[in-house]
Amino acid sequence: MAMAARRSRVTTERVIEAVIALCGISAVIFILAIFGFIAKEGIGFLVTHAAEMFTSADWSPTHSNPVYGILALVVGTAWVVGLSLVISVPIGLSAAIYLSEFAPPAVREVLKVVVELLAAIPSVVWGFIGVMVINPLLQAAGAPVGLNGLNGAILLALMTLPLLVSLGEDALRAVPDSYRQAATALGATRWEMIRRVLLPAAKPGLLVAVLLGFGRCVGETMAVLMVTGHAIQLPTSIYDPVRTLTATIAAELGEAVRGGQHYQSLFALGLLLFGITFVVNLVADLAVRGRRTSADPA
Amino acid sequence: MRRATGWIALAALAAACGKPSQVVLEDKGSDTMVNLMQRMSESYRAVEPGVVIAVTGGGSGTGIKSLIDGTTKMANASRQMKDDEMKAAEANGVHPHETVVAYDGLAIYVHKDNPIESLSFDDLRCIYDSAGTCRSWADLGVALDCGDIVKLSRQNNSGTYEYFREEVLGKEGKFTITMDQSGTQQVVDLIGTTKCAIGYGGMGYHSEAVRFVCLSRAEGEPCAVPSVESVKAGTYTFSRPLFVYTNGAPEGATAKYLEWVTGPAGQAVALEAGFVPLK
Repeated sequence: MAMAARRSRVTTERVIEAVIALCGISAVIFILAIFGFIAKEGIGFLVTHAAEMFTSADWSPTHSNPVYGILALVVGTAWVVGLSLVISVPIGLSAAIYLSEFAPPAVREVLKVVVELLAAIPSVVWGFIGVMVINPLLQAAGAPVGLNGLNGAILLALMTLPLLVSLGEDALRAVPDSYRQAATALGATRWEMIRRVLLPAAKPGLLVAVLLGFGRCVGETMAVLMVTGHAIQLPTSIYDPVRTLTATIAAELGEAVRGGQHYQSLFALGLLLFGITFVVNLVADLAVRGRRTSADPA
Repeated sequence: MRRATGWIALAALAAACGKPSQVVLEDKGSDTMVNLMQRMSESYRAVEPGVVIAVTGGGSGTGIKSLIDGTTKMANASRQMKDDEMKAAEANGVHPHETVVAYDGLAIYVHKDNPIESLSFDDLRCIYDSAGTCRSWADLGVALDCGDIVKLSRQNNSGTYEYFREEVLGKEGKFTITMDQSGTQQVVDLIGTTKCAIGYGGMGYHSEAVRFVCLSRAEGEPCAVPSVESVKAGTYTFSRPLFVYTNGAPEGATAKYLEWVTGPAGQAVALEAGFVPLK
């Protein structure tokens, strides 16, 4: 009797273990499945049309002589993301320094909560703000049309700020206090301590914050779909409307006939996006590892 | 209260018969037609409370694709189905059947402060064709204090986009660089806030911030402003039929609904929504 009860308990335990193990590796399974699915639909197109895709800025997939040049879309994405990082990185990292080094604890707690609230705003609501608020502001500032690359960049900057501030602050606070004390003991001013000691020590962590912010920007779809103006062109002014890779997929996938060239070309775009964010995340991950091994206080 | 009791009784009856109490008919496609078909479905509730028409947009191409995939009963389209779509449908065992539900005048919209009197198709080509040379409003003889013409278009899943391209630029025509909006409402809204803009879309989207341009097919011909009367009279020729596609001739609840839509009650709704009725 006792043996049977024990055996059944062991069996139960094994089943539970297996289920938990399955949950543990499910993320890996999902990633592989998603990658496999996108690759299956897109890789053939990417291989056969690579030359045309990366040399032409003419994207006209529904024309009777379709052209699948993605140069304008890639440049559009890079343009908006680059502009947004130019805005968000200085502000975000400065805010992180303030929160970690200068703000009194009470202020810090309040500010952190508020900054994180920014992250809770859905991207479609950001899109509304872009259309209704930033659009007329940019026109008042002299832009011929308010829905343009700069509008998208401002929105993306606001959307990535919480990420930059939280991760940046974490990275700075992870620097051991003994570093600060040593610098101060050597007669460094607060600014010298931050510039010469804190920032170099926290560099890998700050880099991770920026890279994850970059990945967030590249993948953002709804807000840029609503405010970048959707013009397929190589921008020459910050007021030029542009079109991003994500917005193109979102706008056109509904129309593309399943299995057709247009459909496959959109999956090729998806594959490209997946590749970009994958590489960025990998680099960020390696940087974190670098921090863990190099910044370990002896 | 009495109505609610009626509903419960009806539901109980339906449950007793083992039949669902409501029939849901999906109706998907053209953004131009979304408001129209939404109004139709709301009015139809009063006629046939047991039938729910679920209307969604997405573009004509999206609706047709859903019909081919079998995920919608009806597909709204502001253009006719293309040959390759027909082929794809037949290959999937779907036999598209076409019903014209209303006509729509396609308007050329500009900002309300834009003084331009009229445009011909040649002017439109000059603005919209990839080989066109019109960059500023001065090129069209209009003094407007702003930079280049802000050229608005629709995304390529739009039936309006296809219709405009074929009519104005020709079957092989190619658009110049334009800002592609995902709905006519967005086109009209953006023109309302952008002095230099021009765009096209169904005439039902007119607002106080924009105005219609008087349009002629060729230089020298008399121009016309879109209205229900001018489309009906045939003086405004830049108009198109609006279609609902079904798999085969409509049957049952769908047939009854489309009969109502094309009948006097439905056509009154179309007129109210700013579209041109069939008769």
